[in-house]
Amino acid sequence: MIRYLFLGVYFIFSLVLQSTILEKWNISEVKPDLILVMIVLIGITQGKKQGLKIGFIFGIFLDIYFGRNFGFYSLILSFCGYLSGIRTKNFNNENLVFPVVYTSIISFISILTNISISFICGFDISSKLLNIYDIIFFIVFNSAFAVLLYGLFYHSLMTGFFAIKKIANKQIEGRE
Amino acid sequence: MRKKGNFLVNAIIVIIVIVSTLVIIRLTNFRIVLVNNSFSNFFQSMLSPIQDSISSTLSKVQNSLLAVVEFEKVKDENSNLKQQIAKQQYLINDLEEERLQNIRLKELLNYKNSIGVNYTVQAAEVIAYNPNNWDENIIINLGSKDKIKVGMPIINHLGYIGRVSSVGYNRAEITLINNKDGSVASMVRDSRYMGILEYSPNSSNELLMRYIPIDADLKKNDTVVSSGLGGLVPKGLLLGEIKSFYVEADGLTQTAVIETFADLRRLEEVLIITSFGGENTND
Repeated sequence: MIRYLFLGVYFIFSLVLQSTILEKWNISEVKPDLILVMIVLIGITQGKKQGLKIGFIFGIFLDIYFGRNFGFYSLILSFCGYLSGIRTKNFNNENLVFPVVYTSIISFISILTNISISFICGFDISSKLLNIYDIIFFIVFNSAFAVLLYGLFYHSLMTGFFAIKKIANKQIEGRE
Repeated sequence: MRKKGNFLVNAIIVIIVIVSTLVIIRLTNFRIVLVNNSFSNFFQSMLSPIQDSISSTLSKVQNSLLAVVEFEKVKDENSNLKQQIAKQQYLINDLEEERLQNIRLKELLNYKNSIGVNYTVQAAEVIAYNPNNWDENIIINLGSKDKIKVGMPIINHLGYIGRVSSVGYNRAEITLINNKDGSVASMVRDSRYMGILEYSPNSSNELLMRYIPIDADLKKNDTVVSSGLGGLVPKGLLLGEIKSFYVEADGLTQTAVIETFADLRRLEEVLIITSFGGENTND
């Protein structure tokens, strides 16, 4: 339960940060998506089911926050969370390269998903989603924040307040 | 085989979920399915104070940082603004001067109209005061080129203030009434007692009215005007009012202390009476 509380705090913190500080201090009017980054990191460290679950919960809350196109974000974030949980054979939790690469790929996929859903539903596609520089900035920002958040929350994601008990126990057992 | 079946079931479920979600997204966009926005409103209104306080703090921080980062620019801007303010201030002062001058000129004009149509006057500006401490003279900006002559009386809206004592081409010197050479024949307006108004050593705006008959019934605040005797100064020009009076030591005459109406230390515009009572003072 406490895990969800911390995730909720992180969600609100990200939402506030993205709508205030990052809105003002952006580069080329592009800002990172801290919620997506956290979902990717959860997916990486805790697997596709957890990625899907947290992506769905965060997405639902985003949909509630925006109050329209209900399901839009929950679909995108669930998908991204699920994808980020699919690990390669050589995946190593302690190597920073993986989160960066994963975050870059998932960020790009999130854009593609966004475009696809908008296209399928007949919505106007934001010109920023089609601008290559904006896409690159978005990916770079997310990757940079992934490094930062991974460094900050690595232990929390593995064994601390962001971790699932099972994983925490497994990790502890493995280490012993 | 079971795994394959499970996968198929899962795939169908996922597809159904995705399709139904897409339908919901589509419908909620067009408000076909009415989504209760009270959750959204509640959520947003809960976050808005935090967002508001962060944004305002951020703006302050940003402005402060910007001031530091753009210090040189701000400095230049500040310098330019100061210059602009100085220019504006100068203009304001200028306009204020014009306004005050306008008021004074209007008063002069009114006075000119009030003293009668027999006066022909010419307005002049005081351009200098006597630099020494001992003679009460002023310099005006009119001279012989403007047909100004020695002896012409000078007035302002508060009455007689002196007469022209010397004339240059484009300037004239005025001996004020409080100068030791500026005495003028005068009389108490109500009682008609006459005397000579002379300078007083006590104050620049104080004069002495001498040679008033011993039996004259003087009163405080009685107005003193020019008597017109001698023909140099028109009759009835305001001079001042009686502040006090006393009997001279010889016991034959009285002397009244007069306070001038005009502040002789602060003259800026004056009128020169070039002719009065059918007489041309030029002559």
